[in-house]
Amino acid sequence: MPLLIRKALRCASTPTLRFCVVLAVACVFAPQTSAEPPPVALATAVKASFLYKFAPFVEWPPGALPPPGSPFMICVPSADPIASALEDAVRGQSIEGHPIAVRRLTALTEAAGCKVLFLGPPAASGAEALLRSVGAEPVLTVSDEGAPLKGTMIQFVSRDGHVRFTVDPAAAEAHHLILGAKLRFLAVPPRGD
Amino acid sequence: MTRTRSLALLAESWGAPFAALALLIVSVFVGVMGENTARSERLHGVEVQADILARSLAAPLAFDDGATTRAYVDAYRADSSVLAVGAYDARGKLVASFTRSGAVLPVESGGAFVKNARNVFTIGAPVAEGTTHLGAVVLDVVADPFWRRLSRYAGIGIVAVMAVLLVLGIGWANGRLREANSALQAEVREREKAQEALRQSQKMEAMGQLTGGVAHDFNNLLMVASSGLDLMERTSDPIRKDRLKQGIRQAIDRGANLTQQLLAFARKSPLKTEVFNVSARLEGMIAVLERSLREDISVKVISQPDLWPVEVDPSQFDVAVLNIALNARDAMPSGGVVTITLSNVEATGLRPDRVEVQIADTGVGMPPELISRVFEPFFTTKGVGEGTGLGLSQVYGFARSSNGEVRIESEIGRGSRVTLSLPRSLKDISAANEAAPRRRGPSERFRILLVEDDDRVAELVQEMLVELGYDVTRAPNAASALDQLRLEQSFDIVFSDMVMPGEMNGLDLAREIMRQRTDLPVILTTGYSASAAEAAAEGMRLLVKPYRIEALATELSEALGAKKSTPTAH
Repeated sequence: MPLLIRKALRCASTPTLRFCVVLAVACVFAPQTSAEPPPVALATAVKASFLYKFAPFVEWPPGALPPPGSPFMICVPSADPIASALEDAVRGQSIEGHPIAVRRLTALTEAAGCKVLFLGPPAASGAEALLRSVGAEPVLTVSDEGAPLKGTMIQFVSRDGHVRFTVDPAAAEAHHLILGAKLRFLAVPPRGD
Repeated sequence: MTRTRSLALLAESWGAPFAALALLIVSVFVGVMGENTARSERLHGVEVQADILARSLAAPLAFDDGATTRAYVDAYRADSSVLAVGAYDARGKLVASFTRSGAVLPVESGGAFVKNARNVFTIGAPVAEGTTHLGAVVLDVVADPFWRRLSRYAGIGIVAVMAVLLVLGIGWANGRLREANSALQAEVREREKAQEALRQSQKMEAMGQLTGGVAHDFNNLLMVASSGLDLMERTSDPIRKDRLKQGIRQAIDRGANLTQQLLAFARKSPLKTEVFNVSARLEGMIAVLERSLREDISVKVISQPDLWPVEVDPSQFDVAVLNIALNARDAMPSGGVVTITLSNVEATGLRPDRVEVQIADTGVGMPPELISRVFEPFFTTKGVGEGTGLGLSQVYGFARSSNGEVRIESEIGRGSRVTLSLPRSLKDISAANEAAPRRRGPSERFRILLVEDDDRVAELVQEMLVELGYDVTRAPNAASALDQLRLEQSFDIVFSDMVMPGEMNGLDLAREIMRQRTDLPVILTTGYSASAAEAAAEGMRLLVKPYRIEALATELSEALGAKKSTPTAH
């Protein structure tokens, strides 16, 4: 908790109030007792910010990126709390000149055109079906914490109260994607869990 | 002309300071250029550093890896020129930083920027992956540490200062040198003036001595001649008349000798060289020498056998020996011996084979300060009228003009020794002497054209020539002489004075005659040394005034003899 408050206080001096709001909300709703796992709201905000930043560290095959002027689509299950945090995070950001758009998926069919696909926790209903619907398309697939979902390229994990991630370069290669060295360098090794 | 002079003067006096200033400006310019280059290079280096940091921090900032970010940032602590580093994430939140004491972390302002204040570069670089903005880094870096700049400019600075000092020093020294030089030149001019004045006064003094001596001698001679003539008029005794005539003749001979000595001293007297043996010559002179010296002085000649011949003017040689002997006589007031030693001296170094005539006396000797002056013209230790100061000068002049040399050694109380050194002649004595056959008077009557402007001299010479058996025609100047020659082709010889009024002098006349008639011999005569030297230089036959009738007869018959032996003779 003291860490959170400190972060929030330090925030007050920075011009990015938006993040401060998120932090403040996190402070208010965070359970005051434990530092691990991180408070759900904060972790969700962090994951949302990671989610769009993965894309520039990935080598996309030719033609994989949308035509010029079209948005770079990040798709999340509509029920997942990350959706709104992501919408906040990507505002004003771009990937290779494409504005970033967030699509809330309500049906599997809507996954077409997604470049980054967040599957939610592996245990969530429909995650596997969603993963399968991608086929061999060059789509960066990301899954949330929990038991690994075979075939996802990146999976969020929690380490020492921080949001980290593991990578599966082989899975990425199956989709003609190469996870950049910088990304792999920062990834943590997957645990037995 | 004056402008370039004044420019040169300006350059001379201001050259060194200008050069020093130029040197200073150039070195400052080079320094500033170097400084600018070094700064821009340093800035570029710092920018590259910031760029590397930004690229390295892309992933750690993107994925909120504070530990890695801090590790990267802390790595800059090792570089002492980095004062502060800050890494901000995409939201402008400071993720990692460090600042050295006294430094303030610069504020991130989003994009790339460079600030340069007081030797500190503040660099901001955005952190991005592709076009995705991920954060920013800022660095405060010392542009150039003081010690490094010092070491960079100390060397060139010292060299520049030394060069400036050197240039100024040289300029100063040059100025001093110039001043000293002009002072020296002024001094030299002053001295030259003083010396010129001294020379003039010495010349005047010498002239006084000379004229005094010569006038005295001549007065004596004139006295002898005049009184002799007076007495001749009053007597009818032929024996007495003969003795008086001889006395007058001797006086005139001595006068002629005196002028010969003057000419020899002036080295204007033409040298008539002959090849002869010094030993044989001296044998003939012994009688003359003994008569010139006193009874209490004896003369001894020691000659080595097979003495080499020499080729010099024999009469000048006689006079030289006589002059040395007379000096020896005067050095021996109470009598003594004059020893003349003749010897061959082999060639040494650059000096060729030579014959040495050493004349030693047993007289009073001379102090060293006199020895160095005895050859100076007009220098004499004798009173006015006793000597002209020309005796040893004649010896010196004779030795020099004969390519020989003369030296003197003397010691107080132990006598003096004068050594006349003459170059050996490789010519044959007999052959040389046979070349000039002597004939007394012509066996037939030759026609002679006498050219003489002075009526009295002309009359006298005419009489002498008639006496010698010549058929004489006189012309008063060169032009009429040429007219005469054109009218009559039968002249055998021309005898002409040198200094004459009119456009042509005797020498011009001789040249003209030689051009028109190569077979007609010309004899020139003069008492004027400059003219004599001129004629001798051109190889003309010359009879120096005053001359005796015998000399005239010899010269004429020699000229005619030479003419007869010429194949082109008519």
